[in-house]
Amino acid sequence: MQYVGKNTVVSTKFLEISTQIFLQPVRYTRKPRWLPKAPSKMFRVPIRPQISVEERNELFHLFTNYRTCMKAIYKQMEEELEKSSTGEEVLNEIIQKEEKEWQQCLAINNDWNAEVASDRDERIAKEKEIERQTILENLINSEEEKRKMMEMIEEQVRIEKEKSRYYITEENIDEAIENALNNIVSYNYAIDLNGTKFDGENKSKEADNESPKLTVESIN
Amino acid sequence: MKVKLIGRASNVSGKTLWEIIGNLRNAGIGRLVTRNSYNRYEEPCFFKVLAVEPTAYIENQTRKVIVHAEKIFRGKLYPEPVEIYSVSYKPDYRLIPKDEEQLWWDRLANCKPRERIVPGLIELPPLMKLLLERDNKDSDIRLPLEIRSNRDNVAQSDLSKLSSYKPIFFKNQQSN
Repeated sequence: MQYVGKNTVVSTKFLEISTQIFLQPVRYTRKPRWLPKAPSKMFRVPIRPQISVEERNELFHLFTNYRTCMKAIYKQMEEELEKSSTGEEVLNEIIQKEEKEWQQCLAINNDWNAEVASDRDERIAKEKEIERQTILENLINSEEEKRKMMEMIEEQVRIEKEKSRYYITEENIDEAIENALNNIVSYNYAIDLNGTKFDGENKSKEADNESPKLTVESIN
Repeated sequence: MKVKLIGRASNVSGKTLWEIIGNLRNAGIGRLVTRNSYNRYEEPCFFKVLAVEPTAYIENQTRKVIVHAEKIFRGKLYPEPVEIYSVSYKPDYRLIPKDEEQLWWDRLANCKPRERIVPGLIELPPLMKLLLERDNKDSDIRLPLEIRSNRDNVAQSDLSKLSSYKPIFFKNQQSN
């Protein structure tokens, strides 16, 4: 209910008029504040409240007293509030609490560290073992390769040694020249599909006849 | 002529400062002016005009005037002169005639300095006290009352006195 001093009855009457089931405007059932003064009230002079001197003094005293006391109480409460966050006992308590929490955190951290350390040792041991194995394998492989290489080299040396019997040296160069001159080989010939060898033009017919019949087997 | 006042009643009565100052020779420098609303005080309150500056060149401020004056308020001369500008439009001022000037200075000389001693402490409010007692805390606390540091406030706090929450009215009733 709106309370407007003497006009209480009037305002409730207005409310009753405008009250509907779903609509209950509370504000501005009267003239809105921004509208100008009503023409009927234009020249109305409101009567000043007549307050006696004693009453005015009493009210003045009451209000000033109230404000002063409230200020004192506010100040006291503010101090208490400040003490509750910055007092010596409170600070000590906070420090102790923080120390306790810090110790707890340290203990948890140490536990974690120990756990991680054991895991790490295990892992490092495993890795070392794997590394040792790989090194050993590499060593064996390299030995094997070395051995194979040596075998190959020795085989080549053996082949070369065998071949060295047919090398032309200072001693047998005359013999070799003689041999070459005696056995002239001519590659100036052609062969057909049957392996028949056809010598070049310079050769005599006898030589032609004497030439063996080359077959694929004989070539291979 | 009988004057009939219409409209709302006013708290002030008199002339605006410019109405007084503008009609005086040499703009009333050296003259005494008082305000009718200061009549409520027993002690003399008045101004001695030191300098005047018209404000007609300021738009919409033709009713006002800038006056520098020595201010004597409730029997106390302010150490520094004051400037009257924002309240100079109020029809509240009154010129003190030359033959009365000496009287006002005499009143100032014979005026007793104001004294006011108020209680400086107060107990906790009753409910707060009860709450503290319930919690076994120290409830016998005296809260210091602060006095406003106004230029015109002469109140002194007496720390040996306790203020009361009771209104004066009932106090008077009891004494009667």
